[in-house]
Amino acid sequence: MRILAVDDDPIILELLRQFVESTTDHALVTVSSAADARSVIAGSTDGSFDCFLLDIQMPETDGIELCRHLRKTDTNTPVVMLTAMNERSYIDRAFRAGATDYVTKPFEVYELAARLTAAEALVAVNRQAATVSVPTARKTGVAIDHPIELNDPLTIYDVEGVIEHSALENYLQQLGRSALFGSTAFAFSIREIAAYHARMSPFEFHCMITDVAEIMADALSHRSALMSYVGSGSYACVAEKGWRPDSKQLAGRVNYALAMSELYLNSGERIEPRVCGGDAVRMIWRSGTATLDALGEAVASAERETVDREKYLDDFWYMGQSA
Amino acid sequence: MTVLTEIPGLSRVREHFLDLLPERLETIAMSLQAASHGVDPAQIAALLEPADITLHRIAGAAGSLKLGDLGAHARRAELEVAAYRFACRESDPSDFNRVAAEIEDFVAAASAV
Repeated sequence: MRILAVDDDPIILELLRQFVESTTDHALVTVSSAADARSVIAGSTDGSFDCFLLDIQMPETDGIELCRHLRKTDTNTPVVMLTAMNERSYIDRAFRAGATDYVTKPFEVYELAARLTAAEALVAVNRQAATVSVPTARKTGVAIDHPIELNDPLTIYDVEGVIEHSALENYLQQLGRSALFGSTAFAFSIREIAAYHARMSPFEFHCMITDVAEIMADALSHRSALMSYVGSGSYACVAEKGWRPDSKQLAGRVNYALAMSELYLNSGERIEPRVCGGDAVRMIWRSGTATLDALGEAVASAERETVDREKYLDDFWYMGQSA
Repeated sequence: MTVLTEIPGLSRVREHFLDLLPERLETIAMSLQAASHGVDPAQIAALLEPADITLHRIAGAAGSLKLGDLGAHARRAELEVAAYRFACRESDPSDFNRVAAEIEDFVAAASAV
């Protein structure tokens, strides 16, 4: 990978150079400010960067602002925050700005190595996946022609509060037990997602997933929550600051907004996706991988709800016919 | 399989860090001295900025250079200074002597490293 590290401390840059040069095959470029980072990126002639390592507290523009700036033109490249700021407010702001991972200083060498390996894996996935994003495709009319599997955790672009699923997992693992006090996991699932997936083109499917995410994000906009698309029609959410969401009531609001929206396939046929909400799962006293288990429980609950709902509707129509 | 526990060449970076440390401690001490002559909370907050930034840098790097105690001490002092500067900006500063004692304590301990 070609990595750009931005930190105003020359010792940290020296440490990173030493680490990258002696233990990896990556190429590292270092700069000491956000302004220098912008110049290097703009003047880069031998290809763009594959990964960014950003300090948060820097004079003038901080690392979170720089991350937000980078995301305006580059939605895929992994951004790893490398910072001494371990307060929850910084972690929240960094992930909302588009960070994919967060490492706190002082860092251990094995930890940094693991995060760079994860970033490299993300780069490989991104290279295999979309060469054209949904917003670009919508603007230019260029179709996405690569296949999308039903369970692919698609990246949703430019929707406030919606981040990549791997970033949401990193976010939860970054928060300690005490920081998770007052956090709740919940999820929504699109009903009959397999049927939609089977009849839609990859572009249409990605558009529907993005449109539903946009409506959900709108329903959550007055609350403090982060959301990601897990795959298979399911969206995982983490509510913060003590808010205990009633996800079934929220699903009702989302379905109303979906009914008011007019979503069409390229053929002109109207589609009417609907979602189900599952049980909310409190994150209190969980840490590490147990936080991911909580997220998994929330998603499983929403998916069970869609199955139950479909069965109920099948039974309803069957009884209606025979009555 | 080799488990990587230390960056090769770490000792060289640590030496550089320790070479820079006296200069950084001087920056912190000068910042404290200037702040002690500040006339209002906003000015005191501004004069403490170099101490805040320098403590933040020491706290961020020291632990990765196997100087964990120094890093932890710098972090405590940094939090004290950051909280004091915030209170100054809110025009509600606490006791300056307390933050000064914390900084002096750190500078004395770090000078002995």
